[in-house]
Amino acid sequence: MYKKPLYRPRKGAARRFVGFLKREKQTIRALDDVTFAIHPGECVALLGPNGAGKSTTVKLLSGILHPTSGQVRLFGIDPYHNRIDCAMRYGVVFGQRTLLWTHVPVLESLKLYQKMYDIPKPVFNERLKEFAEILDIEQHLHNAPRRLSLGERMRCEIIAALLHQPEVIFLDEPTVGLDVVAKKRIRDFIRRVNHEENVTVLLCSHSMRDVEELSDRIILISRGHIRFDGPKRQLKRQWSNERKVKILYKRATTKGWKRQLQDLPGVINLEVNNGQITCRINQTQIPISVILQTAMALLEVDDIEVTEPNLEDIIRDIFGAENRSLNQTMEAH
Amino acid sequence: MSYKDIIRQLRLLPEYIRISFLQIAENKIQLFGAFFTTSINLVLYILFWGVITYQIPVLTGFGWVTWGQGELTFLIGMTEVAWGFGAFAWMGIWQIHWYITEIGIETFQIRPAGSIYQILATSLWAGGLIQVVVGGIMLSLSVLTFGLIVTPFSIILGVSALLIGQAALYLLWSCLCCLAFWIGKNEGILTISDALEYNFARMPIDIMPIGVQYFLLFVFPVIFISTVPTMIILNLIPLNFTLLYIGIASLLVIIWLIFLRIIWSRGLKHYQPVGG
Repeated sequence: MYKKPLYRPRKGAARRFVGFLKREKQTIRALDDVTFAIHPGECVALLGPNGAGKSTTVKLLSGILHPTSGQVRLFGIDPYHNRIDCAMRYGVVFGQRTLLWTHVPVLESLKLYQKMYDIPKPVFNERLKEFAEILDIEQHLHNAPRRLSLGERMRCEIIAALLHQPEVIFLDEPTVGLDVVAKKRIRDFIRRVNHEENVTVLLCSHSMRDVEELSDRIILISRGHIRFDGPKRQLKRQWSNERKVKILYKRATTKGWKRQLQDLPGVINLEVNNGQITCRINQTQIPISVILQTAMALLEVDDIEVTEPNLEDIIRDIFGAENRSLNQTMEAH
Repeated sequence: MSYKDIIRQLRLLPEYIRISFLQIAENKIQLFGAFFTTSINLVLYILFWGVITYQIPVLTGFGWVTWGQGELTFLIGMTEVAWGFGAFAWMGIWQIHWYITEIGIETFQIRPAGSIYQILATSLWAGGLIQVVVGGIMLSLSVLTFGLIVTPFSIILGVSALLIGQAALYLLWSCLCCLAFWIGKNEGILTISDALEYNFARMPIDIMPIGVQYFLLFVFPVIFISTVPTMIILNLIPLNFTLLYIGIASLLVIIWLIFLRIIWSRGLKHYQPVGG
């Protein structure tokens, strides 16, 4: 909970003067009734729109912030009051901030962290060599971060966060602003660390590709409340009844086939392009088998592909619906 | 914080100093700038005190200290040494409020070391040592030119007084800078510190009224920056007073350290991260 100044235009010089002297403040609950537990080795994605409370959650878990009420436990202890003990056991990557000295070679920053975390020299050398090889940044370790590209710097940041063999790693937008190649490299690396070293990962990202590829469990957070907490598959089942169906055909056997398919209940939209039909269907209104049977009766079908909607569509639908209902409530008031 | 943590953090200090030198090596022009401004400052101070001592050949103190031209020249050198060392070791305190209000302290809080320690260590500025060297040359010249008597023992005591005194003064400023947790940006406080240091640290404090002396001794201990070390090194005050000054400074260090710890830990509960 924190207080935020309100910048409200006031009429009249006297009121403006009073407003200048005493700014009105609004109490905001950044997080409210948020309860979850993460088990060792899990890779959990914390998703939500901007200002939902994701970063605040990470900052509470890493002991940067203190909750006004409630409890936060990391490794079974309070991370705020045992900050140094916890910090020895976790790693953090803030996509928007750097943990490295901007003007000195990356290696120098890492050497300092070696001493800070009491990493034995052989372990440090071995891990550094291994990580640098995997992330392909060996040649950049001798450059200052200010001379590196964003992707190169971010890979160095990830190494800095993982050198001390943390049990938990908090990733706050680790791939923001990166190109597809850099993103993939970082994702592969995180997956590897999660699987091979059993590092627990808490990922905050707006990149659904990151979430799709890395996490098994999703916590959806919005306006400080948890909207969903469960496996990725369950989110898809629970929030989306849509499926995307692609049908490749050689030729039509019946006239007016397109109209017939379009008129089936539950078909949301249907596009035809160069012998390929793409349509979205609502499973609660029509089983996939009916679509397929109808298509096979009307067309000479070559291939059929049914896909689940991607996470981005689902998340957009959930938060879009939430915004719409909030706007309606505000209008009603 | 356990004893083991404190030892581990102290072991980091050489690494921080090394990084500070590496940073300077990246920006060599800054070094030349520091050398140039220090030298110009010195010439101006010498001219200033030259004018004063031309009018009044000897400044008599309120107590037993007599400030002649030699002592004043030594004081100028000592001021440079003190400011240079302050710029090297304590630069970070001027950035505390900036980190709290604009940059964010997250990057320090997630590391297994004290946050203020990290802010200070990260901000070590090796360029300040140029000022120490220039000041040191000035000290040597004043000793040789004016035949001042200096002993190794008095140097050790004087340097100790300087280091402890600086810690006392700058810890007080750190406490004031930490008020940024509650009041937001507060550069005004730093302006006061600059004014106090600039106007009083380079003056022979004991020529001032006794009330001002007490203020600068107990409230804003600027007196420890250069006047006390100068008086100790030049044997201008007896040993028992030397030890008394060092004792007062040590006491102030302990008091301000305790306050700093309290203010920081309370302030953290008011901390609002920058950008979420």
